[in-house]
This record gives sequence, C-alpha cells and structure tokens, in this order.
Amino acid sequence: MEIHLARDGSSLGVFTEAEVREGLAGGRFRASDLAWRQGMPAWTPLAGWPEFAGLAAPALLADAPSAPVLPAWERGAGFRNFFGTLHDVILNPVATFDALPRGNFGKVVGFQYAAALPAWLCASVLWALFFAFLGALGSGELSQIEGMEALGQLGPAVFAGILCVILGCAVVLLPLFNVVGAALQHVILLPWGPAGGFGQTYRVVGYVQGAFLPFSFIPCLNYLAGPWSLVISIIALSRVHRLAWWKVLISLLLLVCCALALVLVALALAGSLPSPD
Amino acid sequence: MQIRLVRRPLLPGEFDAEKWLPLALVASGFAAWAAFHFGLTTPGCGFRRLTDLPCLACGGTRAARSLLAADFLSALAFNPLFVLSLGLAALWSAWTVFDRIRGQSLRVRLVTDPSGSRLLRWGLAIGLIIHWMWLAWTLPA
Repeated sequence: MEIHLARDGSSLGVFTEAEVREGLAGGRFRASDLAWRQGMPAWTPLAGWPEFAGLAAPALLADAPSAPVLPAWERGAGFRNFFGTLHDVILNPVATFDALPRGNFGKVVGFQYAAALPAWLCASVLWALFFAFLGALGSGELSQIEGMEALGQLGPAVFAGILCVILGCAVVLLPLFNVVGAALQHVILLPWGPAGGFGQTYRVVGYVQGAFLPFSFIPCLNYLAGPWSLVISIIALSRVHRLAWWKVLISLLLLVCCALALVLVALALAGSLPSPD
Repeated sequence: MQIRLVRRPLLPGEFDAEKWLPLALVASGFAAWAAFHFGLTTPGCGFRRLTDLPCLACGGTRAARSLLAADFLSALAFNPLFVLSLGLAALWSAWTVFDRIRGQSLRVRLVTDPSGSRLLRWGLAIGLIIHWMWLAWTLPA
C-alpha cells in the first residue's frame, strides 16, 4: 500500500513501502518525517511505524533537525531570509504564526523597512515614468483632471521628487502607522479574550503588512494582494491569539465598517460645508 | 513521472484551503455583484496604458460582468485564465462542501515528483504565454 510522506508542513510525495525503507536507509527520509496511509486516523512519524522499526533508529531521530524558527526573518536579516519570510507569511501562514516567537520588535521593524524601501523607490520611479510616457506632465494634460492643475505644470523629475518625499515620509512613519493599526485591531479583539498581548498583534500586523507591501505596488497584482492580505491577517490573528477564525473575521469586518462609516461621515460633513466661492 | 490527485488528511500546520476557498468565492462574488450594482469602476490597467499591450489580468472585469450575466462564452473570451481559475475553484469548493456533508475529512491534493513538477511548471508557463497572446489578439483597447 502507498505511503504519503511529509516534512515541515510540506508533502514529500507518495511512495511504496520499499521506497520508504530504501529512503530511510539511505538518508533521503528521516525518522521524524510524518507518514500516513489509507486507513490510518492521522499522520505519524516514521519512527513510530513497526515496519520501519529497525531503520528508524534512535540515532536517526536524534540527528533529525528541530522545527525551524518561522518566519525566516526571525533567524536573521538577509536577502534569502527576506524572501523566505514572504513565502512563510503568504503561503504558509498557519505554521508560521503558530510558531511566531514573542518580543523583539526591532526585527519586525527591520523587516518592514526591508520590504518598504525598495517598493517605495520602485513605485516613485514607476509612476514618474508612467506619467512621463503618457506625456501628461509638462504638456499640461494632467491639468485637465480636476484637482491636478498644479501637478500638470511639473516636469517628470520634479514630480518623481515630490512623490519620493511623500512616499518616503509614509515609509518612515510605517512602524507608527502599524502601532495604530495593531492597537485598533487588538482593542476590537479584546471582547473575545485573545491569548497573546498587544505585542503579538503588533508583530502579526508588521509581518503581514511587510510581506504584502512589495506586491501592493505592482499593477494588477495589487488587486489580488489586498484580499489575500485580509485572509492572511485573519489566519495569523486567530493562530496567535488562539481564537476561532470567524471571531477574528467579525472583528476585522467591524473595524472596516467603522472606518467606512467615518469616511462617509467626513465626506458628508465636507459636502455640507459652504463652498469657498 | 508522477502527476496525480490523491486523498489524504490535512498535515499539522498545513493551510486549510478547503475552509477558506468557498468563503472567499462567496465573498468575492458578493463584492463583484455589489461593485457592479453600485456602479463602481476599476481605475484601468496601468500596464495597458503604458505599453498598449494587455496584462494577464486584462479583461477580468468584463469577464466577471459576463459571468454575473450568465454569459459564459463571452466571459471565457474576455479572460480565459480568470474564468478557468474561477471554474476550478468553484469545482473544488463544491467538492469540499460535498465531502463535508458526507463527513469525509480527507483532502484532495495534487502530488508530483520532480519531473512531474517540471512538466507542470513548463505547462503553466506555456499556458500563460498562449493566454497572453489570446488577450493581445482579441481584447479591444
């Protein structure tokens, strides 16, 4: 009968008993790898299978590495760990946020800057090029759009500079925005009795926002990144605070509704103000 | 070479796609309906404006409109990738709901060996190129 094997939350494939035996002897598989076959109630480490008792020696178990620290950025800053963190947060959120270590806010802030700075530079250049190619700057085409009269008089370089400064300020203030965002999310989760403190909510918000920031600047991909970041936020908060996913969903929807209501009230107030003319 | 669907239990720590996919589909459908109903529009494709060529997602909004009007052939013509992905997601969701009703806890997963993975990656890349060529050929500006 075929045996399904898995390691670190990922499937290794389906193998015959002979292949597993050979793999254990040759070091391709480890005694700590999880295995399952038809009829079994759950995944069990190969060390617990009587068929492989001779091969799954205690030495093999001792050699098996312990579960890696997730997300990868917690193991240290670096190019490889940055992309590893994007993978961990976006594609493997359950294991990542189950294992999220406590404390050390510096690492989260460092990750956010690592994600935001290149995205900020790329966005500034991209939009400046975009307007330059369109010929909207300098020719005054942009002036025809309501509220854009002043921008239409600028050249691409000045426009890129202004964009750099505005987005740069936003990037510098990013950790502060996240403190506010995390505080709002934590307060709205309080009625459910979250297991972790505000620090854990801040770390979740920091890693999720940081992981999705590079994608938010890519045209078309940002439509996918937005909803997916919401799904990941729900999963992450529910795992970190040991709450049912629907409780987190209700809280976040409530937060979105409150924000929308505030915007509508602000728009209504602005509309009721007398025109300067 | 191995490429096949298997049924197995969820791994410890594995993303429970079966829980989220039906929910995400229903929420997206509702959001799309609400957006069209209230006349919300997307800002348009920046890539298309810049290069005059479609991106892989171009025609997606028109495809969604056609789908909501039950005009499946037009939807497929506007953006085949969007419609086929949505169809696959809907099929998987229906299967998941059916499994839940039967009390079945095993999950359907695609299993590949290295050569199978390579073939799938190449197939996906070629498929995306064909899809993009179709959009470039058929989509009106």
